[in-house]
Parts: sequence; structure tokens; C-alpha cells
Amino acid sequence: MNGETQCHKVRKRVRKTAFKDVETKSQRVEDGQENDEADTVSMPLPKQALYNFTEGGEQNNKVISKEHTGIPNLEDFAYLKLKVDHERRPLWVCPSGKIFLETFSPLYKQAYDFLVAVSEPASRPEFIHEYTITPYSLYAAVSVGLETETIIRVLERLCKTNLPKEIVELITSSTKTYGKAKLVLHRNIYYIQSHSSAVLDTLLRDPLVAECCARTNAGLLEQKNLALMEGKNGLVQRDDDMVHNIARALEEDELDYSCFEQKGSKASSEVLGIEIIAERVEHVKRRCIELDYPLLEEYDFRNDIRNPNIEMDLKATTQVRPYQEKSLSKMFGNGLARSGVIVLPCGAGKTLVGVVAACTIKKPTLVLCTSAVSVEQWRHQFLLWSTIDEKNISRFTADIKVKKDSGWLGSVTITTYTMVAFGGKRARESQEILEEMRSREWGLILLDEVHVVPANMFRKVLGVIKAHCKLGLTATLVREDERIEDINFLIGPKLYEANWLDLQQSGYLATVQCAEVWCPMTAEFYREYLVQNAAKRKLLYTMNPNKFQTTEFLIRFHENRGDKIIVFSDNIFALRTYARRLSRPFIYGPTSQAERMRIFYQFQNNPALGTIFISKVGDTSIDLPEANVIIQISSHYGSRRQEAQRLGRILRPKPRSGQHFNAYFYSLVSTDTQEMYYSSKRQQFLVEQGYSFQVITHLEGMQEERQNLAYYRKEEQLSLLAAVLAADEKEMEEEFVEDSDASGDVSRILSKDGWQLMKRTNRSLRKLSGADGLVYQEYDTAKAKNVSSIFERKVIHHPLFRKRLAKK
Amino acid sequence: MVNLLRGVLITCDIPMKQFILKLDEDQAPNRFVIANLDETHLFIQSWALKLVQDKLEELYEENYYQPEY
Repeated sequence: MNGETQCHKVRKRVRKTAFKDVETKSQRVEDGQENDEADTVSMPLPKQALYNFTEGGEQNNKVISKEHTGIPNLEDFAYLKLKVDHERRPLWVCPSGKIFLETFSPLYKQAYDFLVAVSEPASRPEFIHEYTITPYSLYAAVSVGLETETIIRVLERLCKTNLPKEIVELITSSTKTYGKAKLVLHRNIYYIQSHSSAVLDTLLRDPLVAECCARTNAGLLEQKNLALMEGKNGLVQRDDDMVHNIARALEEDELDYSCFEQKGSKASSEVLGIEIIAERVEHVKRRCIELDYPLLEEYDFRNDIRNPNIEMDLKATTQVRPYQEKSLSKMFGNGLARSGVIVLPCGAGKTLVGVVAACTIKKPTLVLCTSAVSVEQWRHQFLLWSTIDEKNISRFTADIKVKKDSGWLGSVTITTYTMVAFGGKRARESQEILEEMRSREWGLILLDEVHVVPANMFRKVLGVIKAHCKLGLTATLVREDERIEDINFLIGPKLYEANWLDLQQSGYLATVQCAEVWCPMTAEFYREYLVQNAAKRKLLYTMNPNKFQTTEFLIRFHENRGDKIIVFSDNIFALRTYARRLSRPFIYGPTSQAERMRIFYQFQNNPALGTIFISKVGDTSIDLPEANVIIQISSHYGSRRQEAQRLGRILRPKPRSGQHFNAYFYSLVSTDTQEMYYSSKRQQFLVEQGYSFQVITHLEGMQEERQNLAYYRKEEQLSLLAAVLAADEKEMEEEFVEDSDASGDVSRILSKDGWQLMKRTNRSLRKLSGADGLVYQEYDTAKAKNVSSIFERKVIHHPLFRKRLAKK
Repeated sequence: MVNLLRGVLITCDIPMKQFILKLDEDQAPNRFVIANLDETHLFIQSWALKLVQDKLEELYEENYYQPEY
């Protein structure tokens, strides 16, 4: 058919360019310019990962133009024929890679498990789920053991129509090369393993890879003892249970069972391997990615003799929830530790998952967090859930560096991203600590809040630290800058993603009632809003007096019910004004640690304090378990993850009898302003997770209360307006939260009460004068002789001396 | 003598009234607001109706987020 030959040609063209890139890169490498510093050479992505659907598309895919329906990019898939028993099947699979799952189908549970393993969830509201199949999701599927035929067969069974050709093509081409070769550390020697000698041949034919192989035996080594080590499971643990459940649910006959099983038994006997020189492992990994054979990385921690075990176990009282267990089982599938990312909602117990992983591997662990507060929190959690000795946990932040006898680092080290990735000059101690980190061979590196850190920082960190197993933990894998794909190949595939609605229904997360409350602007404020510049506008719609009133009303309402309320505001000016006017404590950047602790303590234990105001500092992992209402009065432009994270602050179930919703999230927006736009954008993510946002245009009971609320009188409103307009640039800015002082070691002396007004350093004058770090410096005295005295110079530049000393 | 002027009565909410007043100012030589009745009512000239509607559309486009499909 004409259509087919056409797409064939297109694909060929793509392939050619892919190879060309590869060649030029190897040229450069051979010229000996390859840099050992992994952070300066970026990690490439496999070519297959950039698969473009539109190129290989069938001619039949009509794209309905916008004029007909008003909706852009509508595609017409009516040509796909439905199967006879399509009502029994739960999936629609579109040639563009989107899959729609009916949750009311009897096969929902099994189909859901399968789809979560094979594709990316895009949107999961109550009745119809939407997923997308991408090369990345297939990579993840392969790494947990699903094979090409299995995936295609199961999809075919579950789909209402015949599986479109494009999908079959995508699955075949993606899974053809992924998961075929594995990098294993066994008895302190690195091997590339594979079932098929063809794959190893292809790899060996490449000159770079061949260079990195150990030369003990020429050519391939057949590792029979490795096969024994693998046991019955073969190269990759296959998720047999899941597949069997599906087959059974579909009531297929015996014949079909066997097709799922046969691959496994045959594969177990032969596992071939090539030995790699330890220093060249990074290069091999990179090269294999370029060759489109990304290596699965698994760490055989049980047989790792070189790194000593740490005495660390889970306490007997620790309870691991079923979804946490499931995520860990994906990581430790066949007795080896897989690298990857686990996505769990905020408040669902990610820290515990990290602790359990560390206790399983029992090797030196490095934990990277986003802020000094999280460092404390992780340490607390480690002590709480595991039997590790307090002395063995070391923290490394700008404020705290404690030296032990054996060096700086304990078996578990907790630090921040900025401390490790910082590229500039450091104090001597930091430098030492970093050297120690660099030279150590880490068993496990835990990356907290993986979505926050920019990809370049990751590359730097991962270039500096050598770890066998990398586990990324996050609540939201969406990023505004779309660099999320890179993380797949820097850390590993997504191992597990939890469903927020499911967790809610099982009672592990609070059921949250989300509401957007519309506050109209007052006439004067809106007038000013129309004429001012962008920054002032933001301040104006935040300081809207109606918003003030709404906030006060909501606070009173919830405090009367005994709820604990947190009010978030990004903008400091607003935060201070609101908190002062409503007489509540507030916490922002400059608030001292002692003050923060004091406020938190009061908030949690004192029934008289029901509300606190927090700025952006509250966004990073601070544990506030007792809050169940969040009011958001101002927020960052459209950041979806920020909204999701704030929801995480309250997503801790609080038993409260007789009420369905036990947590509330209010987002206050001023109508007819830009805020409406940003607010809807940010809710998108939560809506896709299944939360519904209710819009409240009118709060019941508020009209009567109005005169008792703040800023009711016109004069007050006008004076507020004047204050807002007078606010200078600096005050209007959003708070810039510097998580850890990467720029220097400024230790803060905490004042006993009140806020931190100045920073005090307890360093020597040397540091102040910039001489810290200098040990010896030579001055070139010979040069100094050549400088003529000021009296002899022809031209005197300094104005003070010009007149007096200039030669006439 | 009675002077008659035909116009359009606009009923709106408080912020929108400010918006229309501002629009009126921007139109400097061709002002269209005849009378500012109270906080929520305005009396404008008939020819300006379309202009007001267009500008309102623009405002809505700016402030309401449409998710991409």
C-alpha cells in the first residue's frame, strides 16, 4: 500500500541521522578529548526515546480541522473496527498512544495493574482513566520483566478494537533493545549480561565498548556460575502473577497460558556476560545508551563483599503499608536492587519507603534533600523507624559539620543537593567532606523530591557521587520545564506510581475537599489594578480587601470547629499585612529556627492557637501533621507542583467522626484578574489526579458578618490601598528561599526570642577578609620594583592627586 | 425644553464598572459614558456597546485558562 511504503521511507531517514550523530561523537572520543568529569559531559538519551508518532502514521488518520468542532487536534479513529465482544473489554487504544480505561468494567483491577506498569497515567478521575504509552514507560515495563509479546498480547486481549499497527510498532521497536543487557556488580566485578549472544556481539563490535572490557579472556566469557546465582528467574524477574491474573480474568483457555510461560524457563539456563574494567563503567553505560541498548542496572547487594554491611534493620514496631510494600517489591524484584523513581503522594510515607530500602540494602547510604529542614526530618525518621545507632548518622549542611574519628561521614549521611552540587569555592571543611564523599563507594543514594531539582544539578551530583543503586522519591513527577524525561535515564525508570484516589479510599490519605473561593475586587483596587505594572498588579490582587474578609471569615469558621489552619502566602508583604491585621503568628525566611520551632509547638499543642501564616518556606517538607485546613491567599505563577505539594501538607488522615471530608483546601482568587488564569492552570494537575475543585462564589453567612471583618470600612480600604501602592520593589518580591548557604559557611547564632535580624559569623577575620582557604601565597617582588613612585609618573589618574601632583 | 439622549444602560458588578470607566478614559476624545449612576450602573452611548463587548472578550481571554486538548 502506498501509505505503508511512505512511512517506511520516513523512518529510514530518521535512522540515518541517528547513526551520524553517533559517529561524530565517537570521533571526538577517540581524539582523546573525553573528559573524565562526568558532570561536564551530559548523559545522552537513547534515540528510540525520541520516537515521534506523527512520522510513522497511517494515512487513514484524519485530523479533523478546528472549524468543525472548535476543538483543536481532534483525531478521528472511527475507522478502527470494534470486536464482537467489545463490551467485555475495558480499553480503548488509540494509534496516537493514548489509552482510555473504563473503571466500571469488570476487568478494571487487572487492567489497571497492567497499565500502570506499561504506560504513564495522564489523568485518573473517577470513571475513565487516561494513559499514554511512551518509550519511557515501555522501558520501565521491560525493566520489571514484561516482554514484548506479553505486552502486545495482553493489550490485544483487553482492547475493544484490534490493536492499531502503530502501537504494535512502537512496542516492538522500543522493547527490542531495552532490557536486553544488564549491568551487574557481582563479587566486585562489573559484568554486562545478556541472554542472547547476538546482543553481546553487537556491543562488543563497537570499539569503545570493546576497549572497556577486561582482557582476561579474549572474546566472550560464559558465566555459568552467574546463571546459578540468578536461580530460576532468568535475566529479569517476570511479573508472572500479574500476567496470570489477567489471563484468568479473561477466561482464556489453557493454550494461552502456556504462551506466557515458556519464555521464562528457557531463558534461565544461559546468561552470558562480559567483564568490564571497574573504572570504565560510566563510559560503557553511556556508550550503550548511544547504541540504543540502555543497560538495566541492578545491584547485587547481598553478595557485595567489598562494601561492609551496616548494622541497620527496621524496628519491629514499624508498619509498612500495602502500597509501600508494593513499591518496594518493584524495586527489589528478584533479590537485586533496581534503580528508579517511586512516586507516592505527599504524606503517604515516602520517607519510610526510603528508610526501608536503606535497611534492606544495608550498605553506606547517602540521602539528598532539598533543605536543612528536610535533613533534620530524614534523620528523625531514620532514628524512628530503624535500629541504626545515632552516631552512625551524619548530617552535612551549611550549619552542621560534625567530625568523627573515622572521618566525616557515617554509614548514613544526609545532606542537601546544593552542598554537593555547588561548583564554586568552598570552605576547607566542606572540601574535605566532599572529597570523602567522592572517594567512597555508596551502596544506595536516596534522592528526595526528585522533581524539584533541575536536571543539570542531577548530572553534577551523579557525576560526583558513585552509587550502586539510586532511588528517587517524589510526589509529583510533573515539572514545568518538562525535563522529567531526563530523569528516567539519569536515575532510572519509574518503578511505581500510586493512585491518590485509591489511597484516599483506603484511608491512608485524608479525603480533601478542594475549593476555589472567588473574591471580587473592590472598585478602587480594581481601578489601580488596571493601570499598574505587572508586579504591582500581583500585589493588588493579593491585597484585595474582600479577600481579607473572606480569609478572616474562613478562619473564624474553622477555628470554631476546632480545626487547625495553615494560611499560605508566597508574597511577604501580603503575609505580614494579613498576619498582623488578623493577629496571628507568621513564619517566613528570616524567622529564626527557634522561633519557628516555638510556633510549631504552640500550633500543635495549644488549642488557643488555631492558625498560622507561612510563606514559601512551608513548601519544603516540613512536617505539620496536625493541620487539616489550608487557605492559599497568594501563590507562585502557575506552578502545578507547588499546589500539589501544598495539598501534601494536609494529606494526613485525621480521624474525625461523622464527616466525609476531613481536610479542606481553599484557594482564594480575586475575580477578573490574572490570578484566575494561574489558579486554573495549577488546578489542572490536581484535577487529573482525581480531585474535583468546587468553585465557591458566595460564602454563606458572610454577608451578615461583614461589618465585623477586617477592612470593612472604606477608609481602611483606602489606607490599605495607599500602603500597597507605596510598597517599594523589594517588599513586593516573592521570597527567595535559600535552602542552604552554599555561598559560604555563615553559621547563624539563633537569638533567643524575636527574629533573626542579622547574621553573625563566628569565623576569623581571615574569612571576612577573604583570605580563608589561602595557605600560602607568593608575591612577585621583582615586578613591584618596576612600579614608579607616584611623583614620577607622567599621568596621574587619581583625582585627589591630579591637581596637586601633576607635572606642569 | 426637554433634551433627549438615547443610550444604553449597563448593569454590571463593581470591578467591571471600573473597567468600563477606564476604557472610557482611554478613549479620550471619544468618551462614551454619559452618566455614572451608582456603583453598579452606567449609562453609555449606543455606539460604544460593541467596543465594550469586544474589550470584555479580550479581558476574559487574558484571565481564563483553557487547558489544551
